[in-house]
Amino acid sequence: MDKTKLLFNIIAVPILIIVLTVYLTLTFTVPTVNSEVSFESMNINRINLVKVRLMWMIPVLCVAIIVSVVIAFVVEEWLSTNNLIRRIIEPQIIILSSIPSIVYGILAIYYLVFNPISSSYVSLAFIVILLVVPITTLSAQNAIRNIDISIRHAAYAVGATKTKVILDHVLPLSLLEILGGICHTISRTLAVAALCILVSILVESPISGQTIVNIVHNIGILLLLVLLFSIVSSFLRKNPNVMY
Amino acid sequence: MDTNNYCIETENLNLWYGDFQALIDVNVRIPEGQITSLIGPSGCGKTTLLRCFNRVNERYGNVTTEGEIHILGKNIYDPDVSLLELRKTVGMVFQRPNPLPISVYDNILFGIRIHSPFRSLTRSQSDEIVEEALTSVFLWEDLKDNLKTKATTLQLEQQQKLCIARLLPLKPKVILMDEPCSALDAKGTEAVEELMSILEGTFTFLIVTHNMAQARRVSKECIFMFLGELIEHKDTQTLFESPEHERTADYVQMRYG
Repeated sequence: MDKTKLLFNIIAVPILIIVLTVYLTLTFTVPTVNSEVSFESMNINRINLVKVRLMWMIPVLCVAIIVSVVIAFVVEEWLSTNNLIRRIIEPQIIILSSIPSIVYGILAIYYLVFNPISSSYVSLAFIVILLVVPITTLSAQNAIRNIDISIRHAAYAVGATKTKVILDHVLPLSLLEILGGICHTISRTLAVAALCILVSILVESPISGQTIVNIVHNIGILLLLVLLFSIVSSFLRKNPNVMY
Repeated sequence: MDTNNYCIETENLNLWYGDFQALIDVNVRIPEGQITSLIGPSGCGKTTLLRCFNRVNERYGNVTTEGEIHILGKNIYDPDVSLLELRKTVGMVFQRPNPLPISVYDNILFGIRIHSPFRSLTRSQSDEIVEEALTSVFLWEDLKDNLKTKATTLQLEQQQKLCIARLLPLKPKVILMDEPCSALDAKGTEAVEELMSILEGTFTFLIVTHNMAQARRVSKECIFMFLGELIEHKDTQTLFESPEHERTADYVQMRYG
């Protein structure tokens, strides 16, 4: 893959994430709500509350993604296969990543839609972390494993340090695959967010026609973003060995 | 063996992968400035022994090593030994050509950049190093107009020569070769062997090979290993024509392997 294409791909994903953040910020910004206070007294409806909370999960999502990539590098590059920490972490990552998103979606609906006042941001953040970290870590681990061992051999044989090998070769060569995994995770997370908003319409009563139109519009945009991230993910991950 | 100038010496070298002992009391002396070949059936510990000499084995977890390895008189397991310096002195060429997925030019400079202060190499110095290294491996004429070409797009023979060229700017004393011609055709093998013969004297070569004809052609001395033990170490002609041990005789006469 030539440098221009690589650069394009590396730039495209952050731009998509920025567009998503800006869109959600502009769309969902309503007065922030203190969970200690009833939302009736704040004259604010459940749907907006859900949207505010979802918006607050964007930074959590970003941090979770960064942490996941770091975990993947630490596990793959620093911990040997016999390492106790690795033997504990890896099966948990595999098990958690195999849980369907709908399970996390139901959890999120419970906290966001049915218990919006009593639930804390921490519990929501925990759901986001459970949804994001295993999948991103697993895909980043696969991306790192896909790097031909001969490249590491070549670098180590002339005296390169582990850090040098990672920064000069492993990271650049696995970056597209890692970004693909990140897009896949964002796609899944947005789908769960769309589900939460959809359920909040069903629960909210009474609800005006205009609100329904707005919410459907929001869900439509979210689903488009889901599709977009999913397509970008497929494009980035279509051939893991494309660099060679 | 009639020389006292040994480049590599091992004393009671033992190595375990977990519980499996891959090397058993290996005592070997590799003379300086010569090509020495390591032969033996698959799994006998040739590659393991080779990898001990630049401590690349340590990258594979669960490896335990006992004994001493002296390279140019220095025990490489001494605490004051820098792995970076060791790998600069003891270069390694692998079975499959493994140029880095960067340009030919950057491949040649990759090692020297690691061992030089940041941005200390000027453009003219770099050009000179690249030309010298490629000339040494007879690639300069073919590649001088394509230095920015990605190294992974070269022919296999050129890639393997490039891997040797990549070591030369570091001025290694020893070059370890792990079946360097197994991925090459007859023409490529001939070219690499010719290159080794020309560089012999400047560098000490230790080559692992399954090709006994190659061992006879290129090496002055030959080591036969079996199940982790060093069975016989003699000059190549003697080992092939009048082996002392029955196992060696069986192997060189291709009764198994």
